[in-house]
Amino acid sequence: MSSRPEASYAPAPAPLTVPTFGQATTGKVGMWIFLVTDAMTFGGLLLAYGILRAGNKQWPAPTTVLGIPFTAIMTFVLIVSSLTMVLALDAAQHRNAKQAVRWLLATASGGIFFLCGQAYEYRHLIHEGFTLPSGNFPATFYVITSFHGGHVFTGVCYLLITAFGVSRGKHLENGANFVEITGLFWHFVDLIWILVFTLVYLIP
Amino acid sequence: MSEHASSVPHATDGGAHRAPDHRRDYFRIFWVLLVLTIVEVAVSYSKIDKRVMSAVMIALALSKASFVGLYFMHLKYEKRSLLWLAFLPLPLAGFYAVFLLLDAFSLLRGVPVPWVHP
Repeated sequence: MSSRPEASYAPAPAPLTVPTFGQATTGKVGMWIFLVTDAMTFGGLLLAYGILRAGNKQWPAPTTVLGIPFTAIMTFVLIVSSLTMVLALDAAQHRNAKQAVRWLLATASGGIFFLCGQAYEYRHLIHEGFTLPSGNFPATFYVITSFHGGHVFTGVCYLLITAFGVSRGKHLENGANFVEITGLFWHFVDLIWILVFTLVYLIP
Repeated sequence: MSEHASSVPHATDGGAHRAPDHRRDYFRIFWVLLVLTIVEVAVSYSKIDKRVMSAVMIALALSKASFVGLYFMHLKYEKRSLLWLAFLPLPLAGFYAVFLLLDAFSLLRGVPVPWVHP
């Protein structure tokens, strides 16, 4: 890229971009490639769930086992956290660090609430005898939802690290590219949950 | 906030996504996602045919996922090649999934499918 500053005294050198993808930075393209591969992993898990379920006439209706209203609230919280994430990015792009940190922390709080909700749900289900080895439905349910929960946990850590950096005046340069990449991961977590909620919890 | 859009100092990662009306878009998409989720949960409690219900729910879930990808993840504002990078593998995976699921139905439920029981 010819416009990239060469001098070492440049305050905030613009990150490398990938011309094939317009002005997208290498970091953003890298994150997208990672997300696509991660989507394939989730796809494999959901496909295994679908195959096991398709071949089993005795598969219970998820709504009779799982708490739909409670999970709907968790879904709502994740959707709200996606909104707060884009508001954090918007604030960071306008170099409003204070506001960006607030929104990032609100997003992380949403993730923590979700994880607490998942722990509560697991505790309740295990108490009811819905344990990992008790059948294909619980086995696939726990593997898929805990894998997603692992992503939420990672996302919360990522958000907190980003918020810490922004609070110290970092990550606001280059159109808040770093915050945007953090957001890509968080929205992906939300996107996957949208599919998991439908396929595992709601489909009769 | 939208009036501040022009104050962004420099854009090296897709300046188009800092269009003035983004904040409004974000809220609009949030409400769409919320309403679609409520509709989905409501449908799950309805008494309609299971196949119809499943089809409606999958359509709603894919719409919601697309909204998140296009607006919150800014794919709508990126160069088309990045959109292809993100979406092209997914139909291929879907194609693979459909055939595996059809086989699963066929083998495990005894529903004849030509390429399984020729």
